Amino acid sequence: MKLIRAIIRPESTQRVIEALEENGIYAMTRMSVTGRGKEMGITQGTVRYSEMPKEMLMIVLPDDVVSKAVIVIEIAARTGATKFSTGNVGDGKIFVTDVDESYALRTGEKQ
Amino acid sequence: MKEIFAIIRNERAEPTKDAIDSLGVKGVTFINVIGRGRQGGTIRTPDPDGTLRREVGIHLLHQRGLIDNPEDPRHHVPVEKEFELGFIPKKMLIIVADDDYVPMIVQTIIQINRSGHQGDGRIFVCPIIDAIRIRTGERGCKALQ
Repeated sequence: MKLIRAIIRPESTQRVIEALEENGIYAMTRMSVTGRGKEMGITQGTVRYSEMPKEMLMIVLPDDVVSKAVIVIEIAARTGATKFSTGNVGDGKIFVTDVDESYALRTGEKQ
Repeated sequence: MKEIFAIIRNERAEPTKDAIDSLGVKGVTFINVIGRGRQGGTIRTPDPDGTLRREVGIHLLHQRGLIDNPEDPRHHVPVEKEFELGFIPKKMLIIVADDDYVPMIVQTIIQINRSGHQGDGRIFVCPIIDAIRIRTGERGCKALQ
């Protein structure tokens, strides 16, 4: 099992969720976070915004579905990409980590 | 060292906190999150209004002589209603603990939060490589004590 943490733009959240639903992935946890990447926020005129609001999705999936889910999130969260260019700065990141054990609280069983 | 993510009901957060305190585990992080499970945020519950509507319907049928016995249990099947809830507010606990403590913590969280209904939540246990106490710079298991 793997834990996927995707930090995406708040406005692309709905699109990502719909794309995951189309691929049969419904279970997820969402939270609002703020953060910055290697550009250290954005500068608008003389004003510097050091942290930008983002949405974090946490999804735990069996190993064989993980690579598909990552591609689905990647494509849905990328903004304005064409055949000849990539997305924009601030589209987000996806992190994948191991999960050793998982328990459902309703039954108390290990899954 | 392991990191325990527990996603639980909001109203069970306080009892869980007390139970974890009594185990001697002091460091817990709480986050307000929204989430949904395998059902995609839909729940099925008995619909009391639906049963009532059906009973009224049965009496009308009886008055018109279309059914013999309105008390017949065959006519009183409980109606289920499906609610679309979407993302539901939950609390997420994050506990970093030594390997030996993990089964105890997991069992305690299950014991406190298990009601047997959909939406009780889930626990994930993930490996952690290092922990550092910022105040002193202690590393590893020492940072957790």
